[in-house]
Amino acid sequence: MDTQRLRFQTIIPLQKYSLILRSDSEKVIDAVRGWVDHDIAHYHTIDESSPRVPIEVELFTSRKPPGIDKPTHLDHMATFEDIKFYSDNGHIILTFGDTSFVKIDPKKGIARGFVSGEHLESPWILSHRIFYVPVLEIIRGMGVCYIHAGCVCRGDKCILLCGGSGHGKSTLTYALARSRYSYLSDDAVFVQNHSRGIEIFSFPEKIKLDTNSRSFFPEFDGFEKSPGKMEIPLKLTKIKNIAVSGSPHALIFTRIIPAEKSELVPLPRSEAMLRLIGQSISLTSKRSIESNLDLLMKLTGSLKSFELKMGGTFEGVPELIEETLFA
Amino acid sequence: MRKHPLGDSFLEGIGVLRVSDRVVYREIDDKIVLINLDSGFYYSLNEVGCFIFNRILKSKEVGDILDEIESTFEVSQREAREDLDGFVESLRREKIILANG
Repeated sequence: MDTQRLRFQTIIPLQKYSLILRSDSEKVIDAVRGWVDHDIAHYHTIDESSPRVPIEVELFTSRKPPGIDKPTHLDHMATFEDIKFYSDNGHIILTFGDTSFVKIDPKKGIARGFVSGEHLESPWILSHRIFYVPVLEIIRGMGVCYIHAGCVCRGDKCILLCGGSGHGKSTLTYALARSRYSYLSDDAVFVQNHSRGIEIFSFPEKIKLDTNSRSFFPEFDGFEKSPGKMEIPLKLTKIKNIAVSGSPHALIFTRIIPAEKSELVPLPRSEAMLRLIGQSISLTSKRSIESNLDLLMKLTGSLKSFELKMGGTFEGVPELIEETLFA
Repeated sequence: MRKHPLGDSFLEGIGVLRVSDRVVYREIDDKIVLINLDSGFYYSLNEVGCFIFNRILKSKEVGDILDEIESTFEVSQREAREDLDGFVESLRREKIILANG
Protein backbone atom coordinates (compact mmCIF):
# COMPACT_ATOMS: atom_id res chain seq x y z
CA MET A 1 0.00 0.00 0.00
CA ASP A 2 1.13 3.55 -0.64
CA THR A 3 1.17 4.41 3.01
CA GLN A 4 4.52 2.68 3.38
CA ARG A 5 6.04 5.14 0.93
CA LEU A 6 4.97 8.04 3.12
CA ARG A 7 8.06 7.91 5.28
CA PHE A 8 7.32 10.95 7.44
CA GLN A 9 4.62 11.19 10.05
CA THR A 10 3.46 13.40 12.89
CA ILE A 11 0.57 12.96 15.31
CA ILE A 12 -1.25 15.93 16.81
CA PRO A 13 -3.56 15.34 19.76
CA LEU A 14 -6.81 17.28 19.51
CA GLN A 15 -9.02 16.62 22.51
CA LYS A 16 -10.49 13.15 21.82
CA TYR A 17 -9.06 13.02 18.26
CA SER A 18 -5.63 12.08 16.99
CA LEU A 19 -4.67 13.92 13.83
CA ILE A 20 -2.24 11.69 11.96
CA LEU A 21 -0.36 13.34 9.12
CA ARG A 22 1.78 11.26 6.75
CA SER A 23 3.77 12.52 3.78
CA ASP A 24 6.65 11.67 1.51
CA SER A 25 8.04 15.15 2.17
CA GLU A 26 9.53 16.41 5.39
CA LYS A 27 8.50 19.94 4.40
CA VAL A 28 4.84 19.04 4.83
CA ILE A 29 5.45 17.59 8.27
CA ASP A 30 7.64 20.52 9.33
CA ALA A 31 5.03 23.06 8.21
CA VAL A 32 2.31 21.47 10.35
CA ARG A 33 4.58 20.82 13.33
CA GLY A 34 5.74 24.44 13.14
CA TRP A 35 2.16 25.66 13.36
CA VAL A 36 1.20 23.57 16.38
CA ASP A 37 2.06 24.88 19.84
CA HIS A 38 3.50 21.79 21.47
CA ASP A 39 3.06 23.16 24.99
CA ILE A 40 -0.67 23.54 24.34
CA ALA A 41 -0.80 20.17 22.57
CA HIS A 42 0.68 18.66 25.71
CA TYR A 43 -2.55 19.47 27.57
CA HIS A 44 -4.49 17.52 24.95
CA THR A 45 -2.38 14.45 25.63
CA ILE A 46 -2.77 14.37 29.40
CA ASP A 47 -5.85 12.16 29.44
CA GLU A 48 -4.70 8.97 27.76
CA SER A 49 -7.34 6.84 29.45
CA SER A 50 -10.01 7.20 26.77
CA PRO A 51 -9.48 5.94 23.21
CA ARG A 52 -8.89 8.58 20.59
CA VAL A 53 -10.65 8.86 17.23
CA PRO A 54 -8.04 8.87 14.44
CA ILE A 55 -8.22 11.39 11.61
CA GLU A 56 -5.69 10.55 8.91
CA VAL A 57 -4.30 12.93 6.31
CA GLU A 58 -1.90 11.58 3.68
CA LEU A 59 -0.20 14.09 1.41
CA PHE A 60 1.90 13.02 -1.57
CA THR A 61 4.32 15.41 -3.22
CA SER A 62 6.39 13.31 -5.61
CA ARG A 63 3.45 11.78 -7.50
CA LYS A 64 -0.31 11.67 -7.40
CA PRO A 65 -1.83 9.02 -5.13
CA PRO A 66 -3.31 6.17 -7.19
CA GLY A 67 -7.03 6.38 -7.87
CA ILE A 68 -7.24 10.00 -6.82
CA ASP A 69 -7.22 12.70 -9.43
CA LYS A 70 -8.15 16.31 -9.77
CA PRO A 71 -11.92 16.60 -10.37
CA THR A 72 -13.08 17.48 -13.85
CA HIS A 73 -16.83 16.94 -13.95
CA LEU A 74 -17.93 16.67 -10.34
CA ASP A 75 -20.63 18.64 -8.54
CA HIS A 76 -19.18 21.94 -7.44
CA MET A 77 -20.46 22.73 -3.96
CA ALA A 78 -18.68 25.84 -2.77
CA THR A 79 -15.66 28.09 -3.08
CA PHE A 80 -13.62 29.60 -0.27
CA GLU A 81 -10.83 31.91 -1.41
CA ASP A 82 -8.74 29.69 -3.71
CA ILE A 83 -10.26 26.44 -2.40
CA LYS A 84 -13.04 24.74 -4.37
CA PHE A 85 -15.25 22.10 -2.78
CA TYR A 86 -16.70 19.28 -4.93
CA SER A 87 -18.87 16.30 -4.03
CA ASP A 88 -18.30 12.82 -5.40
CA ASN A 89 -20.37 9.87 -4.16
CA GLY A 90 -20.16 10.74 -0.50
CA HIS A 91 -16.59 11.99 -0.79
CA ILE A 92 -15.51 15.63 -0.76
CA ILE A 93 -12.78 16.79 -3.08
CA LEU A 94 -10.95 20.03 -2.39
CA THR A 95 -8.76 21.78 -4.93
CA PHE A 96 -6.20 24.37 -3.88
CA GLY A 97 -5.50 26.70 -6.77
CA ASP A 98 -4.98 24.78 -9.99
CA THR A 99 -2.51 22.21 -8.82
CA SER A 100 -3.01 20.65 -5.38
CA PHE A 101 -6.03 18.60 -4.34
CA VAL A 102 -7.28 16.36 -1.54
CA LYS A 103 -10.01 13.70 -1.55
CA ILE A 104 -11.83 13.23 1.74
CA ASP A 105 -13.73 10.19 2.92
CA PRO A 106 -15.68 11.70 5.85
CA LYS A 107 -17.05 8.33 6.98
CA LYS A 108 -13.61 6.77 7.35
CA GLY A 109 -11.99 9.97 8.60
CA ILE A 110 -9.31 9.84 5.92
CA ALA A 111 -8.06 12.52 3.50
CA ARG A 112 -5.54 11.75 0.80
CA GLY A 113 -4.13 14.12 -1.77
CA PHE A 114 -1.39 15.69 -3.80
CA VAL A 115 0.67 18.80 -3.00
CA SER A 116 2.24 20.58 -5.95
CA GLY A 117 5.71 22.09 -5.97
CA GLU A 118 4.44 25.68 -5.68
CA HIS A 119 2.47 24.91 -2.49
CA LEU A 120 5.27 22.85 -1.01
CA GLU A 121 7.27 26.05 -0.56
CA SER A 122 4.58 27.73 1.56
CA PRO A 123 4.37 26.45 5.17
CA TRP A 124 1.22 28.55 5.73
CA ILE A 125 -0.67 27.03 2.78
CA LEU A 126 0.51 23.53 3.75
CA SER A 127 -0.60 23.84 7.37
CA HIS A 128 -3.62 26.16 7.32
CA ARG A 129 -5.08 25.08 4.01
CA ILE A 130 -4.00 21.71 2.61
CA PHE A 131 -3.78 20.01 6.02
CA TYR A 132 -6.29 21.92 8.17
CA VAL A 133 -9.26 22.37 5.81
CA PRO A 134 -9.60 18.60 5.14
CA VAL A 135 -9.32 18.01 8.91
CA LEU A 136 -12.14 20.55 9.44
CA GLU A 137 -14.31 18.78 6.87
CA ILE A 138 -13.74 15.40 8.52
CA ILE A 139 -14.51 16.79 11.96
CA ARG A 140 -17.64 18.47 10.57
CA GLY A 141 -18.71 15.10 9.23
CA MET A 142 -18.49 13.82 12.81
CA GLY A 143 -21.12 16.36 13.90
CA VAL A 144 -18.72 19.04 15.08
CA CYS A 145 -19.35 22.68 14.23
CA TYR A 146 -16.52 25.15 13.66
CA ILE A 147 -16.80 28.75 14.88
CA HIS A 148 -14.38 31.57 14.14
CA ALA A 149 -14.05 32.80 17.74
CA GLY A 150 -11.62 33.23 20.58
CA CYS A 151 -12.40 31.44 23.83
CA VAL A 152 -11.43 31.76 27.48
CA CYS A 153 -12.76 29.78 30.43
CA ARG A 154 -13.52 30.17 34.09
CA GLY A 155 -13.39 26.63 35.40
CA ASP A 156 -15.56 24.69 32.97
CA LYS A 157 -17.44 27.78 31.74
CA CYS A 158 -16.43 29.05 28.32
CA ILE A 159 -16.77 32.60 27.05
CA LEU A 160 -16.75 32.72 23.26
CA LEU A 161 -15.43 35.94 21.74
CA CYS A 162 -16.53 36.66 18.18
CA GLY A 163 -15.75 39.58 15.97
CA GLY A 164 -14.53 40.51 12.55
CA SER A 165 -11.00 41.51 11.74
CA GLY A 166 -9.94 44.62 13.66
CA HIS A 167 -12.72 44.36 16.24
CA GLY A 168 -10.43 43.47 19.13
CA LYS A 169 -11.28 39.79 19.45
CA SER A 170 -7.71 38.46 19.63
CA THR A 171 -6.51 41.28 21.88
CA LEU A 172 -9.40 40.80 24.28
CA THR A 173 -8.92 37.02 24.29
CA TYR A 174 -5.29 37.46 25.24
CA ALA A 175 -6.07 40.20 27.81
CA LEU A 176 -8.52 37.88 29.55
CA ALA A 177 -6.29 34.80 29.28
CA ARG A 178 -3.32 36.56 30.88
CA SER A 179 -5.47 37.70 33.81
CA ARG A 180 -7.78 35.28 35.57
CA TYR A 181 -9.17 33.11 32.77
CA SER A 182 -7.86 29.91 31.21
CA TYR A 183 -6.94 30.11 27.55
CA LEU A 184 -8.68 27.84 25.06
CA SER A 185 -8.28 29.52 21.67
CA ASP A 186 -7.62 32.88 20.07
CA ASP A 187 -9.59 32.42 16.86
CA ALA A 188 -11.18 29.01 16.23
CA VAL A 189 -13.28 26.71 18.35
CA PHE A 190 -15.11 23.46 17.74
CA VAL A 191 -18.57 22.87 19.16
CA GLN A 192 -19.94 19.37 19.64
CA ASN A 193 -23.24 18.19 21.03
CA HIS A 194 -23.23 15.28 23.49
CA SER A 195 -25.98 13.73 25.56
CA ARG A 196 -24.43 15.49 28.57
CA GLY A 197 -24.53 18.87 26.82
CA ILE A 198 -22.47 21.01 24.45
CA GLU A 199 -18.71 20.77 24.55
CA ILE A 200 -16.27 23.37 23.24
CA PHE A 201 -12.67 22.60 22.34
CA SER A 202 -9.95 23.87 20.02
CA PHE A 203 -6.91 23.08 17.93
CA PRO A 204 -3.57 23.41 19.80
CA GLU A 205 -2.07 26.18 17.72
CA LYS A 206 0.16 29.12 18.56
CA ILE A 207 -1.39 32.41 19.64
CA LYS A 208 -1.67 35.00 16.90
CA LEU A 209 -1.34 38.72 17.64
CA ASP A 210 -0.51 41.60 15.34
CA THR A 211 1.78 44.49 16.18
CA ASN A 212 -1.08 46.70 17.41
CA SER A 213 -2.46 43.98 19.72
CA ARG A 214 1.00 43.25 21.13
CA SER A 215 1.50 46.96 21.92
CA PHE A 216 -1.06 46.67 24.77
CA PHE A 217 1.10 44.16 26.65
CA PRO A 218 4.61 44.88 27.98
CA GLU A 219 5.74 41.26 27.64
CA PHE A 220 5.90 41.78 23.86
CA ASP A 221 7.95 44.99 24.00
CA GLY A 222 11.04 43.35 22.55
CA PHE A 223 9.15 41.76 19.64
CA GLU A 224 9.82 43.00 16.13
CA LYS A 225 7.02 44.72 14.23
CA SER A 226 5.31 42.38 11.79
CA PRO A 227 3.04 43.17 8.83
CA GLY A 228 0.40 40.62 9.76
CA LYS A 229 -0.26 38.48 12.79
CA MET A 230 2.71 36.88 14.48
CA GLU A 231 2.36 33.31 15.76
CA ILE A 232 3.60 33.33 19.36
CA PRO A 233 4.36 30.20 21.38
CA LEU A 234 2.58 29.92 24.72
CA LYS A 235 5.86 29.92 26.63
CA LEU A 236 6.59 33.50 25.47
CA THR A 237 3.27 34.82 26.78
CA LYS A 238 1.87 35.60 30.23
CA ILE A 239 -0.82 32.94 29.97
CA LYS A 240 -0.77 30.74 33.04
CA ASN A 241 -3.66 28.35 32.51
CA ILE A 242 -4.75 26.30 29.51
CA ALA A 243 -8.23 24.80 29.04
CA VAL A 244 -8.66 21.86 26.69
CA SER A 245 -12.46 21.91 26.67
CA GLY A 246 -15.46 23.36 28.47
CA SER A 247 -19.16 24.09 28.28
CA PRO A 248 -20.76 27.26 26.87
CA HIS A 249 -21.45 30.10 29.28
CA ALA A 250 -21.49 33.31 27.25
CA LEU A 251 -21.07 34.59 23.73
CA ILE A 252 -19.65 38.07 23.21
CA PHE A 253 -19.46 39.88 19.88
CA THR A 254 -16.77 42.53 20.04
CA ARG A 255 -16.93 45.92 18.34
CA ILE A 256 -14.60 48.90 18.68
CA ILE A 257 -16.45 52.20 19.10
CA PRO A 258 -15.16 55.77 19.35
CA ALA A 259 -15.96 56.20 23.05
CA GLU A 260 -14.18 56.41 26.38
CA LYS A 261 -16.20 53.79 28.17
CA SER A 262 -16.91 50.21 27.14
CA GLU A 263 -20.38 48.67 27.35
CA LEU A 264 -21.62 45.09 27.44
CA VAL A 265 -25.11 45.00 25.96
CA PRO A 266 -27.37 41.91 25.92
CA LEU A 267 -28.08 40.60 22.42
CA PRO A 268 -31.31 38.83 21.37
CA ARG A 269 -30.81 35.17 20.54
CA SER A 270 -31.94 35.61 16.93
CA GLU A 271 -29.38 38.38 16.40
CA ALA A 272 -26.63 36.26 17.99
CA MET A 273 -27.63 33.36 15.76
CA LEU A 274 -27.48 35.48 12.63
CA ARG A 275 -24.05 36.83 13.53
CA LEU A 276 -22.78 33.34 14.36
CA ILE A 277 -23.78 31.98 10.95
CA GLY A 278 -21.30 34.33 9.33
CA GLN A 279 -18.55 33.04 11.61
CA SER A 280 -19.36 29.39 11.26
CA ILE A 281 -21.26 27.92 8.35
CA SER A 282 -19.34 26.40 5.47
CA LEU A 283 -21.34 26.01 2.28
CA THR A 284 -20.75 22.37 1.57
CA SER A 285 -23.71 20.02 1.71
CA LYS A 286 -27.26 20.92 2.69
CA ARG A 287 -27.24 18.21 5.34
CA SER A 288 -24.04 19.52 6.88
CA ILE A 289 -25.38 23.09 6.91
CA GLU A 290 -28.65 21.98 8.53
CA SER A 291 -26.75 20.04 11.14
CA ASN A 292 -24.53 23.07 11.85
CA LEU A 293 -27.57 25.35 12.08
CA ASP A 294 -29.23 23.04 14.59
CA LEU A 295 -26.08 22.99 16.68
CA LEU A 296 -25.83 26.80 16.59
CA MET A 297 -29.51 26.98 17.62
CA LYS A 298 -28.75 24.76 20.57
CA LEU A 299 -25.63 26.75 21.42
CA THR A 300 -27.38 30.14 21.34
CA GLY A 301 -30.15 28.66 23.47
CA SER A 302 -27.70 27.45 26.09
CA LEU A 303 -25.83 30.68 26.81
CA LYS A 304 -26.26 34.43 27.15
CA SER A 305 -25.21 36.62 24.24
CA PHE A 306 -23.83 40.13 24.37
CA GLU A 307 -22.32 42.81 22.22
CA LEU A 308 -19.22 44.38 23.74
CA LYS A 309 -18.84 47.94 22.54
CA MET A 310 -15.22 48.63 23.34
CA GLY A 311 -13.74 52.05 23.73
CA GLY A 312 -10.29 52.80 22.41
CA THR A 313 -8.45 50.92 25.15
CA PHE A 314 -9.12 47.66 26.94
CA GLU A 315 -9.14 49.39 30.29
CA GLY A 316 -11.89 48.06 32.55
CA VAL A 317 -13.11 45.51 30.01
CA PRO A 318 -12.02 42.35 31.91
CA GLU A 319 -13.72 43.75 35.05
CA LEU A 320 -16.88 44.58 33.08
CA ILE A 321 -17.04 41.02 31.73
CA GLU A 322 -16.35 39.59 35.17
CA GLU A 323 -19.10 41.64 36.83
CA THR A 324 -21.68 40.91 34.15
CA LEU A 325 -21.05 37.22 33.70
CA PHE A 326 -19.87 35.99 37.08
CA ALA A 327 -21.07 38.44 39.77
CA MET B 1 -56.50 32.12 -7.76
CA ARG B 2 -59.06 34.56 -6.51
CA LYS B 3 -58.95 37.87 -8.36
CA HIS B 4 -57.80 40.55 -5.96
CA PRO B 5 -59.38 43.97 -6.57
CA LEU B 6 -56.02 45.77 -6.64
CA GLY B 7 -54.23 44.43 -9.69
CA ASP B 8 -51.10 45.54 -11.58
CA SER B 9 -48.84 43.44 -9.42
CA PHE B 10 -46.47 40.77 -10.60
CA LEU B 11 -48.27 38.51 -8.13
CA GLU B 12 -51.25 38.45 -10.49
CA GLY B 13 -51.44 35.05 -12.06
CA ILE B 14 -49.35 33.42 -9.37
CA GLY B 15 -51.35 30.94 -7.37
CA VAL B 16 -48.92 29.54 -4.86
CA LEU B 17 -45.36 30.44 -3.96
CA ARG B 18 -42.82 27.97 -2.65
CA VAL B 19 -39.51 28.10 -0.85
CA SER B 20 -36.53 26.98 -2.93
CA ASP B 21 -34.96 23.61 -2.13
CA ARG B 22 -31.65 25.47 -2.00
CA VAL B 23 -32.68 27.39 1.09
CA VAL B 24 -32.22 26.30 4.69
CA TYR B 25 -34.19 28.09 7.39
CA ARG B 26 -34.79 27.92 11.12
CA GLU B 27 -37.27 29.75 13.35
CA ILE B 28 -35.66 31.31 16.39
CA ASP B 29 -37.64 33.34 18.92
CA ASP B 30 -39.80 35.65 16.78
CA LYS B 31 -37.50 35.62 13.75
CA ILE B 32 -36.70 33.30 10.88
CA VAL B 33 -33.11 32.91 9.76
CA LEU B 34 -32.55 31.87 6.13
CA ILE B 35 -29.45 30.72 4.26
CA ASN B 36 -29.28 30.58 0.48
CA LEU B 37 -27.02 27.58 -0.17
CA ASP B 38 -26.07 28.80 -3.65
CA SER B 39 -25.13 32.39 -2.90
CA GLY B 40 -24.02 31.90 0.70
CA PHE B 41 -26.06 34.93 1.75
CA TYR B 42 -28.08 34.73 4.92
CA TYR B 43 -31.02 36.77 6.12
CA SER B 44 -33.38 37.23 9.02
CA LEU B 45 -37.07 38.02 8.61
CA ASN B 46 -39.00 40.49 10.74
CA GLU B 47 -42.48 39.93 12.15
CA VAL B 48 -44.35 40.57 8.89
CA GLY B 49 -41.74 38.63 6.91
CA CYS B 50 -42.15 35.62 9.22
CA PHE B 51 -45.93 35.87 8.93
CA ILE B 52 -45.79 35.76 5.12
CA PHE B 53 -42.99 33.18 4.95
CA ASN B 54 -44.86 30.78 7.25
CA ARG B 55 -47.90 31.00 4.99
CA ILE B 56 -45.79 30.36 1.89
CA LEU B 57 -44.43 27.28 3.67
CA LYS B 58 -48.02 26.12 4.18
CA SER B 59 -48.64 26.52 0.41
CA LYS B 60 -51.35 29.12 0.97
CA GLU B 61 -52.62 30.92 -2.10
CA VAL B 62 -51.40 34.47 -2.65
CA GLY B 63 -54.95 35.83 -2.38
CA ASP B 64 -55.45 34.14 0.99
CA ILE B 65 -52.15 35.50 2.27
CA LEU B 66 -53.25 39.00 1.26
CA ASP B 67 -56.52 38.61 3.16
CA GLU B 68 -54.68 37.38 6.24
CA ILE B 69 -52.24 40.32 6.14
CA GLU B 70 -55.19 42.73 5.93
CA SER B 71 -57.03 41.21 8.87
CA THR B 72 -54.05 40.45 11.12
CA PHE B 73 -52.20 43.73 10.75
CA GLU B 74 -55.35 45.83 10.19
CA VAL B 75 -54.08 47.44 7.01
CA SER B 76 -55.84 48.35 3.76
CA GLN B 77 -55.89 46.05 0.75
CA ARG B 78 -53.44 48.34 -0.97
CA GLU B 79 -51.02 48.26 1.96
CA ALA B 80 -51.31 44.50 2.22
CA ARG B 81 -50.54 44.10 -1.48
CA GLU B 82 -47.60 46.50 -1.24
CA ASP B 83 -46.21 44.59 1.73
CA LEU B 84 -46.55 41.25 -0.01
CA ASP B 85 -45.28 42.60 -3.34
CA GLY B 86 -42.17 44.05 -1.73
CA PHE B 87 -41.45 40.97 0.31
CA VAL B 88 -42.00 38.48 -2.50
CA GLU B 89 -40.09 40.56 -5.02
CA SER B 90 -37.02 40.79 -2.80
CA LEU B 91 -37.05 37.07 -1.93
CA ARG B 92 -37.62 36.09 -5.57
CA ARG B 93 -34.70 38.25 -6.60
CA GLU B 94 -32.57 36.37 -4.08
CA LYS B 95 -33.97 33.05 -5.39
CA ILE B 96 -35.34 32.19 -1.97
CA ILE B 97 -38.92 31.76 -3.08
CA LEU B 98 -40.24 30.64 -6.44
CA ALA B 99 -43.63 30.87 -8.13
CA ASN B 100 -45.44 27.60 -8.48
CA GLY B 101 -47.73 29.06 -11.15
